[in-house]
Amino acid sequence: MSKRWLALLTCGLITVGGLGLLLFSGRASAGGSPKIVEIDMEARQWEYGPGIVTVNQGDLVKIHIMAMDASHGFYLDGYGINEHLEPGKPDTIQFVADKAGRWMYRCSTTCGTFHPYMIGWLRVRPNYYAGAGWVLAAGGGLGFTGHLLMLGVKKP
Amino acid sequence: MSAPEKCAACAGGLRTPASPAERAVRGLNGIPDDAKFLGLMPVHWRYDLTARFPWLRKVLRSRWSAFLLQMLGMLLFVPALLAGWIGSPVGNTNLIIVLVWIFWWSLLMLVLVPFASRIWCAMCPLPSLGEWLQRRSFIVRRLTAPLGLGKKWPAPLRNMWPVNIIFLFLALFSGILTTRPWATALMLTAIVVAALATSVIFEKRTFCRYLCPVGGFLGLYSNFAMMEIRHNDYATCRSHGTKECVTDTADAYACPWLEAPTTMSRNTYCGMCFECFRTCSMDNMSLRLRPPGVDLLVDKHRGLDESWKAFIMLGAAAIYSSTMMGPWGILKAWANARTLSGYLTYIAILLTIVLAVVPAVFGGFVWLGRKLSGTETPFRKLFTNLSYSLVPMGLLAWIAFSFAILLPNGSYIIRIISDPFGWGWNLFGTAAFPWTPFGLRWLPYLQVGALLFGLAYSLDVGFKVARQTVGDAKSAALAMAPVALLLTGVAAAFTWLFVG
Repeated sequence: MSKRWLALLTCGLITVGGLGLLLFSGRASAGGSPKIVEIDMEARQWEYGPGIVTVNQGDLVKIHIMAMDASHGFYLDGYGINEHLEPGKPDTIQFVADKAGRWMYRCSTTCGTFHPYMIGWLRVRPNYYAGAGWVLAAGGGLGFTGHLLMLGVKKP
Repeated sequence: MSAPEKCAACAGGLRTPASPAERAVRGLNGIPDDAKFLGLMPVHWRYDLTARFPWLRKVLRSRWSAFLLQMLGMLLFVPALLAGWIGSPVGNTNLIIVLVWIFWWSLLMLVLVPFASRIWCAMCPLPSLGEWLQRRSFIVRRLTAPLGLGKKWPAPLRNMWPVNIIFLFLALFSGILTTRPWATALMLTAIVVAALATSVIFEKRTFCRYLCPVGGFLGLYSNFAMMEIRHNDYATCRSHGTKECVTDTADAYACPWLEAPTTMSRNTYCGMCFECFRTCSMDNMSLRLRPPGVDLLVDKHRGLDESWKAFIMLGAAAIYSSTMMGPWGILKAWANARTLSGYLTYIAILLTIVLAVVPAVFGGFVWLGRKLSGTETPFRKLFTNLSYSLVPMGLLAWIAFSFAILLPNGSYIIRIISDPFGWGWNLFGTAAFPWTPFGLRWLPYLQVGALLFGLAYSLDVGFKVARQTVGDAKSAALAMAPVALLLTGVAAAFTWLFVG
């Protein structure tokens, strides 16, 4: 077998193996019964606290949220949930996290200068997007690096 | 002016491969005839649009086409600038913020630069006043001498360093510029004044070439573009004595961008104004399609100024993505200059990362590759040449970033056309159009796809450049291996930032 094919095979094995592992670990992490996840969240210019929320696919997510300083909003990418928040008035946003991946929640009510950048991250595991990105990057990048190294050390 | 002559090479649309003489001018040294990008796209493939579509050549040769493009830019710019100064202070209700930072930016990074190179420069309104003043004319070529001192730009500054510094200066205020209408208006007004002053003192489009803050990254990333303006047949250029594209004549302007279209081999400083089409009495210019990234393989005019531009843009993509798309409130507070100490911290981090950390890390990997390969190629040459492998990764990271700007915020455009000043107007009945994010379900796919494509292209370009620089394939492979590892890490890091 030529070095080129060996490199391609290595690259393919890393990618396929990685994707398999990703799928397996994803199934394993999401395999448990769905839980109810309750989160207390504050919205203030121009951040959410907490800024990162991590749940498992299938979980029922209840976000108890309050705008602390001005009117804000809560829009969840990919889910299309949109809530307007009045300052000082508590609100609860409830949804089933059925879409895996990382989604941004962002302010949907103009709240000041940095309003467009008022963003938080909801991670719904398993995050296949990121996993596939990493595996494909690793498969391609490391495979290519290996190919270069083999090319470099091969006998004349 | 003599009648245009048709050259034999204009007959067909497909141009592959080039003659040896033309290839030498193109500067694709060491790139084999059968070389392909990603094993798919032949490096030397070209598709001559102006030969295939004769009406396009006619349009491009018309002085009216240049004027109308500039007027289109002006038509958007004047109301936007007015809105910036006298309109609503709230960013997303003011035309200038929506037009510049959502519409223009997305159009530039997602469409114009990757597909049509610096075509934006042909319609950019900012230097138009200066150019019209210099020429004392809007459209026709006047026989009078150009207005202004017509001085030459100082030789030591004929590179990207001034642009790098000006871009970085503005980058320090990116949080403020992109959210405050007055700040964007101030910046654009300052650019117009600077362009006007430069055109009075210096010749032609000196401002666009050496001072425009946008010009640097447009120039670098347009090397990746799928379109180019080049001479049609090199023999025709070589045998042509007058060369109106290089020296002004009574009938025509030479290249306003101070390029020599006869030997131009990269898009970097071609402003796509098509003046060379109008001026060439031999009708020997062509607009062509090509595979992306060809100019990154051009072994001429490479320099550390452009390397640093690549580092600055890659670092800025990471910092802006963290600040604007990230969940870290502290970063936003710093960038928004809530406190002086926070703002100074932000500036220090930004400058340290783009000017020192990114180049130092890249340099470390290049050094390792040089040691590994045992090549005698000077470190500086290897460092400079391999830095061009960062261009596809950098551009695609910006494309991923721009998707995240356009998809959630694009709907503001519909509302703003009815109420550009935020004064409660309803010109087209769309003023009440609600904020409507679209396509966000597909954002992760778009971003991951962009990053993977950028990685694959960077690896490919990097190895081709390494072979070109080092010579033999074995040494080139070893020299490139650590950089390939670094590029993989960069792609993985951006993947985390965008979807992780």
